[in-house]
Amino acid sequence: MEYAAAMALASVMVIGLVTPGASSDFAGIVERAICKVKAAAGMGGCTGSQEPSPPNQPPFDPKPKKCKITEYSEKVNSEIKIAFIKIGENAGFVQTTYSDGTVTYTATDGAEIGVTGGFGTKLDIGKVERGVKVDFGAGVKFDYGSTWTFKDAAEAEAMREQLDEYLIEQEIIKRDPYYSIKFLWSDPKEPPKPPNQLVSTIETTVDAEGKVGLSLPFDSDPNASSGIPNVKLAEVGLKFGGSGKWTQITDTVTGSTTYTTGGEVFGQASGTVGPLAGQLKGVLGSSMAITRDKDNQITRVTLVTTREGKATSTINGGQKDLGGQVSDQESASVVTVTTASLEVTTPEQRALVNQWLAAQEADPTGYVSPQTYYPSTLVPGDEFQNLMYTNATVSNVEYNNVSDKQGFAAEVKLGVALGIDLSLETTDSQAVDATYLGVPGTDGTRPPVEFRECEAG
Amino acid sequence: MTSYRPAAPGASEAARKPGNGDGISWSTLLIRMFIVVTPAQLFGAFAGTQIARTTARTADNLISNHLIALLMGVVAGLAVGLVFSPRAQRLKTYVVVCAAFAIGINGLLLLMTRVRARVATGLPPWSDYLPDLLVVTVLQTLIASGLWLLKDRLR
Repeated sequence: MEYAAAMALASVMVIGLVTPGASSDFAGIVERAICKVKAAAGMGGCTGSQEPSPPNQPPFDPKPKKCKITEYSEKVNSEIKIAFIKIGENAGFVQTTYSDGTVTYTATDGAEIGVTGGFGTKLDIGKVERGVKVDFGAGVKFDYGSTWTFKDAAEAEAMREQLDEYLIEQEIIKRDPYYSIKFLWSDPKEPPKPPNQLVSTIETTVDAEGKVGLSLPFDSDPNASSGIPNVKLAEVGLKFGGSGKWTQITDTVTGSTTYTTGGEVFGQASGTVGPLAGQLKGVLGSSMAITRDKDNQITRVTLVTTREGKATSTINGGQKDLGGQVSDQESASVVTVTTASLEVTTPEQRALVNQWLAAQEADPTGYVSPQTYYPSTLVPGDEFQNLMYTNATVSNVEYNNVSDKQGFAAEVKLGVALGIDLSLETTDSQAVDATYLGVPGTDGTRPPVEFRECEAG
Repeated sequence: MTSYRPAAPGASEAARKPGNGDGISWSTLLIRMFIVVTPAQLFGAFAGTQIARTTARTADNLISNHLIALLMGVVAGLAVGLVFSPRAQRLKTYVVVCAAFAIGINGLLLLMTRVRARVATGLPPWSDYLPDLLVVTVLQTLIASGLWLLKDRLR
């Protein structure tokens, strides 16, 4: 009897030893078995196994997919976050919630979170450039600015809870090594998944291609030195890439890479500003983002500009407040952020975009005209502008009570550089008006459409 | 003075095979010790981890950094002390066996832990277990010995 009991006990221990993770696998096996039985019985099976229905959307939906609605920062070690653990003092997330429900977490220094010294205090592009690591403790380190994307707030919360659980467990083990003995009957906590986005910076002026082993956002066209055919350049606009500094955002899920850089107003000093002087005078900041897929094909071009003044319907009409008329008391503290995003889907579009980019790089007079970053009207002869006019989604979001406009614009640029939207709203300022450009009309204009999802409240 | 006396068939068998001089054979003693110490230590560990987990959520500090080892030693010591009743002259032998099993079973459980949790990161090095291993061994042996002495006096 005793021998039998001893053998049984030893058997249980051996089985437990050779089947690690059996408990978690078992649940999955049972779940799949139930699904099969339900399917066989005609009870619908399981939702996870059903094939998704094919999308049935119009070829061009002018409404932007999402815009940021809220944002707040939180240290990892708040609330339960383990008061006895000195984790998270120098680590945290900037959480951003978008109108389509998606949530992003961006790794940042917890020490800076909560500081309300104006814009740019939450994230620092300089730390990205220096390759700063954010240490969450227990060996969990991520690159500063790394971003996780979740389909909803619940999924984001689950990730944070997972991180907390993991950190708690690791801390208990550190304090009490025998705690790990619980892994005999339960699985260890796993650290959270790696971030979706990794951010780094490159310098195009120091042989970046050879240095970092990556293709530059602009593939130089050897035939483009004497001018680009079919590209009509405006006389004034924004010149991008002049600084040679680019931020590189790598999407670890899709394999795509987004290169972003800032722009400068071009043409004003030369006296060739002409009728577009107002728009450019009001530009506080601008960014361009080029996204390439894993095959290095351009898939998206995004132009973001921050301007003084109200978000009026079009560039060419009704724009008395657009263009930095700061003397107007009502618009003195108003800033408008315009985001134009072109999804490049066909080889023809890609060729046109490549030509346009080559012109930006190779031609000293190459720049982005206001009609390109806000394509509300059709400009005859400018094929890239026409492509933006017909295919780009364009949003215009107006913020009031912005006391530090330059800081605000800097934060917008930083957000583009990091692949997220940053704190455009504060306790004082908020989005008071938002529109997007509708489908092109027969009169050669795209009328603005109310975009209430992006407005505060 | 009485000794641990199993059911009649076992007792007669033990009587026929006097191994450790206490009425039961060495193999029987070792098997019984294995049967008693292993689940007792596991139960103590389970209770300890549950308490550690709960306090980690609510308290500023863990109750004790050696809480799990402490409970393992106490529970196993109580179990061994209550189940076995060695004669006074065999007490040293039982103490040695008890201590050896405390170390052996504990080492086995820790080995299994490390094998089973091989995917986990951050497991402590072997040397970190030594203080707690000492705690388990000393507690289990002391408590068992105390109970044996108490039972011996009550006879």
